[in-house]
Amino acid sequence: MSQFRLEAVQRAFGERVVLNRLSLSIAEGEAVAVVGRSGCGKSTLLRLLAGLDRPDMGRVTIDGTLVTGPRPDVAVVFQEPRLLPWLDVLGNVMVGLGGKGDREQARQEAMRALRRVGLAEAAAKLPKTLSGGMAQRVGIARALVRRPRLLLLDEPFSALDALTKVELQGELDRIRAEDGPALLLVTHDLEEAAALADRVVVLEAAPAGIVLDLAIDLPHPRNRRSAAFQAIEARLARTLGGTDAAEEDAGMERAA
Amino acid sequence: MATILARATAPGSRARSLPSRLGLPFAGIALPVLLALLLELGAATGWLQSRFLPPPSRIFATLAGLWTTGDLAGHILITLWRVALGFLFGAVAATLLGMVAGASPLWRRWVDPTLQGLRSIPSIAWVPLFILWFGIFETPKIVLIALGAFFPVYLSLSTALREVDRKLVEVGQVNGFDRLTILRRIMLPAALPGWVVGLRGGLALGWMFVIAAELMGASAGVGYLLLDGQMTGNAAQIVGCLCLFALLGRLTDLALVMLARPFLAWQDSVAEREQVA
Repeated sequence: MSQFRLEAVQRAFGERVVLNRLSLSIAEGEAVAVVGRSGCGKSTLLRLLAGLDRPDMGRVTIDGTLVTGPRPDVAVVFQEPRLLPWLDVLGNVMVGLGGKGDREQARQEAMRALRRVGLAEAAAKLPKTLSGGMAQRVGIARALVRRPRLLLLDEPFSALDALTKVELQGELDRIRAEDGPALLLVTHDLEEAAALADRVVVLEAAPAGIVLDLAIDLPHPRNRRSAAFQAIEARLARTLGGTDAAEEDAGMERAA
Repeated sequence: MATILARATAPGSRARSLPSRLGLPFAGIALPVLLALLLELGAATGWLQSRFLPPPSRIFATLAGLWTTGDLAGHILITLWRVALGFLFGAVAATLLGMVAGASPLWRRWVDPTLQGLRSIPSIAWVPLFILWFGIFETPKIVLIALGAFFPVYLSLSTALREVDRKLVEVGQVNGFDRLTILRRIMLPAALPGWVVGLRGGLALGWMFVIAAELMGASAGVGYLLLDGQMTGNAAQIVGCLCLFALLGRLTDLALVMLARPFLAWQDSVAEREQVA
């Protein structure tokens, strides 16, 4: 049964309609990747589920309850790590616990989350001394320490170099296998989507609707060189290319 | 050989470049010392009229004379006390109201425009009213200095709070912080650099306002000494007092910077990098 649902949501910014009656549901423990070109409304969709934004029309629900703001069982990893620069790494991970409860217990939980992303030794460092990959790992630890049921990731690896990206994708895959949170990954990287998700949803350009909802039935961790994996990636590329071609045609018609 | 090469290329042992060497700790006083030497030379050669622009040696002698009688220390202490008290009151009030202004759109709409209007009144214009309200003793002086210190702190803090990166506030929101916790744990730390700039500006204005305050019927203080120099036609005393104001202003500003530095070590700014270099 679907626990996390967007039902016919519409969202516009001024005159520009970004999401047009879009519906999407994510089951408990399911990993869904949303791909599409820049500006097609992927991040808006994520912000709606995070409770950081509200739809103009339609409903966003979790377990049937309307999402009206951020919730304790949902965590977000942003595109930029968004670490608080005045706190050390441990302090930043403790932010994930909402600043409530016993401080010593929070410290221990944060240390545990840091160990999981391989950064226990950097606990006392300030964010300004971290590399991009390390900072994003801290962002992931801050999200994990909440033990979320739904983990939202907004292009979390897009600013990283290729090697660090693959490494962190592997870590995320492993963490998901251990904890099993549902996952919504917004990305423009088709390989990343195919490697991490159980389902890939392709959005057309704004106003966004779903043009493909593809289930991927391959075991984790995925072999990116396998024929099946490459076939999926090729299909996603074709679909995305098709939406681009349709947009170009429409643009030429408008210009004519 | 390898050791020599390693040593030569290690970042810590790099030969310091010329611009780096010019940034020596005492570089800041080079210009005043040079000016003093030129003035001394000008007075000695008769190129400058020392009656109007006394040479540093005479200024120093005047100040030393006042120091040996114990007068100068008393004047400095009373001025320092006034600035400290006025700055403290002004900065505390400005910090509290600046926090409200930064966090409350209602305050910004209804109260802030009036405060901004009051800000444009020149310091000296308040003097008659303050004398009328508080008499001619210490209270009006402290209030005047507090008023001077108030506005830079208020303006800097409220602006810094309004300009806190929305993305950082969202981090608090998605992690379950309530509004007060967001203010306390995200907005105030993020606004700290702006607040410190405001404190420095407030302290500088405190020093400006102390002169206006001490000109309104004081019987002690560096401002009084300045006025006394004018009455007695003692240019050395006047210039000496100006130098004292510059020195005291600079030293208190430096103390403020040193106090704030540990709390701003997290900044990844050009200034921080320069300190490391």
